[in-house]
Amino acid sequence: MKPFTDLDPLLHSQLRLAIMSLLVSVKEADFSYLQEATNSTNGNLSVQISKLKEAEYIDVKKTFEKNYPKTTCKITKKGLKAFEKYVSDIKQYLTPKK
Amino acid sequence: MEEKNITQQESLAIIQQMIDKTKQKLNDNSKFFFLWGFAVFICAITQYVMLKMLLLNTQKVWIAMPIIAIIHIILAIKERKGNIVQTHNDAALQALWTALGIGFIILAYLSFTISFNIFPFYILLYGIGTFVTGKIIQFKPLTFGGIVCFLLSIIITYINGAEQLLILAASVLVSYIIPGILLKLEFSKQQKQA
Repeated sequence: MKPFTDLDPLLHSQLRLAIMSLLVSVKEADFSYLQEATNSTNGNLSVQISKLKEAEYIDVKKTFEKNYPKTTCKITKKGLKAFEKYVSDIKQYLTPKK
Repeated sequence: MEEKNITQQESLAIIQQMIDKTKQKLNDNSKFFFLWGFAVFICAITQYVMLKMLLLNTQKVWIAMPIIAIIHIILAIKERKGNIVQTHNDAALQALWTALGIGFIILAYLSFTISFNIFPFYILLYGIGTFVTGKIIQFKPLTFGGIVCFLLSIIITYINGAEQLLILAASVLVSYIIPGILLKLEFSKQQKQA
């Protein structure tokens, strides 16, 4: 199989893609929800969320609830566009060329 | 889930898997239907009985409504804090019921300023709320209850006197209470399967 050199490297990663796929379908999600849904470790999820945030693909809001920090993530317009492009790029790879 | 190289098929599988996780997440909204359903049902029946007993100031039973509204707000805030995810459906439902809530308050206010029979309009709003909610969460008993309310909002105008209260009670029974019970059962079933 050919390597995917021209696919968005930020999205072409198992966990980051999973996070983005979840956030595409919901309005906003808590860190604990993302962790449970992706079955990932705390540290790894934090790192990947930071990368997506740096790329401005997601918005991260940190608040406090009952003295515990609460992190809420939401996809941005830029993130949604990148996700849509990634899906259409992948489709081209999967469609056999005539 | 770890970091590793993925193929295009794996990519699609991840997207599909994650989107599926957010689908079919039925929220247990039944408590709000019970709260309002039983409150309106009990008030309507109580006022009907009072009228039949020829008691005065029967409309005072509706003083309970602002109290129910406060209980609703407390329950909603509590629930919102416990939620770890808000779907687009949740946001749409919240907007719908907020708008309807404002509609109920405005109608109540208008019934004081320009005297008119408020019941057909309330039943109509119950119908709009449950019909749309039923369509959004794909739960037929709510949609069906909404349709019955549309009909009852017309039927009530052909009925005179205290019997209108029975129509009002029937409207919340079919649109809030019965679908609320069925929603609760469906939610429990889904929880067991998960």
